[in-house]
Amino acid sequence: MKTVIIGNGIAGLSAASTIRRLNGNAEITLISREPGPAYSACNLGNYLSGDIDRSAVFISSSGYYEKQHIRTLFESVVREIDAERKKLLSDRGELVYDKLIIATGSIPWVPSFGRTLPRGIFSLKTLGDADRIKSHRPRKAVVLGSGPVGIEAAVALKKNGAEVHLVELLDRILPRLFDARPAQLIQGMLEANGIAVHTGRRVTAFLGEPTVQGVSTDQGQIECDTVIVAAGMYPDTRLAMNVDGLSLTPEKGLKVDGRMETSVKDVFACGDCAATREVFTGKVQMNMLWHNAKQQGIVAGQNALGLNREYRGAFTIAGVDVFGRHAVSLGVPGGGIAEDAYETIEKESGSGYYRIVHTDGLVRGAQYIGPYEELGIFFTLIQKRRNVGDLLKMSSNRRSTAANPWAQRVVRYLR
Amino acid sequence: MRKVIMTDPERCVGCGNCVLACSLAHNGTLSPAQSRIAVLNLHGMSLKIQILCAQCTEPLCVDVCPVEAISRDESTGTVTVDSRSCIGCRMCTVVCPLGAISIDYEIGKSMKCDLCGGDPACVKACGYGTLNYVPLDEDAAKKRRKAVENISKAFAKLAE
Repeated sequence: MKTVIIGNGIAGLSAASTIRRLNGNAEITLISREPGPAYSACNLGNYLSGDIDRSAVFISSSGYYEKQHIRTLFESVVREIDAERKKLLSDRGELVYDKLIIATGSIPWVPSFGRTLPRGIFSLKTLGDADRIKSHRPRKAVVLGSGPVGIEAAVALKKNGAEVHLVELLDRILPRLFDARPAQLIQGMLEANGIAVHTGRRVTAFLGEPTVQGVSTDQGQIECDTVIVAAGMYPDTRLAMNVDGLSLTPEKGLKVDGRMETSVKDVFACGDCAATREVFTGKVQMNMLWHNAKQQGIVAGQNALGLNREYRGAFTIAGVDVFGRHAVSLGVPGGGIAEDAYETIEKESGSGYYRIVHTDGLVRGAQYIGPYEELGIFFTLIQKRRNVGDLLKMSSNRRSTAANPWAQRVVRYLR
Repeated sequence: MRKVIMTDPERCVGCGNCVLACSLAHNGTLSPAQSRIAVLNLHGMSLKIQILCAQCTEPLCVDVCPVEAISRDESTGTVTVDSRSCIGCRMCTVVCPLGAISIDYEIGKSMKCDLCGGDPACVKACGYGTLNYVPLDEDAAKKRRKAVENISKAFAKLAE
């Protein structure tokens, strides 16, 4: 059985290694536009800051693929998928498949503002991006977008002594993960370390050529020699556009069923390019996080082998490391609740901050700053649809406590 | 032969020796903050629960680690954190259903029970029989599960 996997990110790698682990004879070909071996995109911030060596970014060795009998075509591009004849046209020739796994990932959205981009505009998505930023030696940087990647980039460049301006369109940083108060506290941490944060501000143009000299915004210009664009990703499903019957969602993600199979038989999709159901919102959406990509890759690999495994679902958990202080969000923040009413149980103290978001007592999410790792228990409690009132009552009943003791660790946060 | 630490909470008196033994064995300190085992004292109920890693067969911590710093040894079943690769992102601490993985604030990295490489210090330190390092009898577990399935089916039929 021939499986071809497009992409060497964690989704593609997980699919390949899962197939090989379960079947010693399956023919696996992995094609990727990047040079190998596989690396962790989540560690790019630490490489950019100089906290780790380039070699530490890789999560597999160059010998890994050969040892696992995975045929690799690195720095190669797939031009077209012929799903009817089960063939791929690539710049290394034609590839035939029995099962195809699309793990093409996502592409950073970069505004052009109606002109060709000057030099000095980067995204922070690939290892190549990080290498290029390092070579450029930013002294004054504007980071466009305050999601986790933007925060990582800002912190990394600041650690290297650059002047850093973080620009965010919405009224708070990390808007999809944190509510206003925790976002404000995290902003304070960035500012205390010398990063200028501009919220509610829109970048309107890149200035200068041939190299960028600044950005103009709706509230004045900011001088810089570097711009890191971290303003969102869209799924890389360009190949799917010309395949008959291969359905995409409105967000252009590949539609997959519970087994990661697309609307075309024997074609699977996993990782950033696939739209999946998120367990906290119940919606089919883009869930572009490492752990989702990894698990989806594993399930796609299992089902390419016909094992009929069901994907548990994507979930949103994310964190940022701001000069050694950590902020984590799990579940849905208040700002993500569709209904207008949500309530919070929150506390600010010398150690940090936490909030638990609930609707009518039903726990929906949690956010914390500082040493509150115990609140991770809410990840499980939310999925079990636990109610704040029930959790408090449970603690007075010996049998129910013994049945779910771990919930007791966090009851004190609810009082 | 796969062995696991089984707990008998009713025997626990809350002395905390297990916690100190763990910190001592791993760090040479007597620091509950550096222990991979915790005892939760539920005062109102005269019950103490031991919180330690269950060495899951399908560990969520391994799933979420963005730098592949956590791995499971197929032969022993032990799930281990490689603190050299760990970046301290806290994602593992979010997904563990037991809250059994935590952060060692001396180094800012995750820490969890590693069964002390096969000779758990907490088990040796417990004088009350709360912690026992025993072979995991997978066959017996399978049999029990089958029995429970059969009973559930019988009850379901009764309910009809």
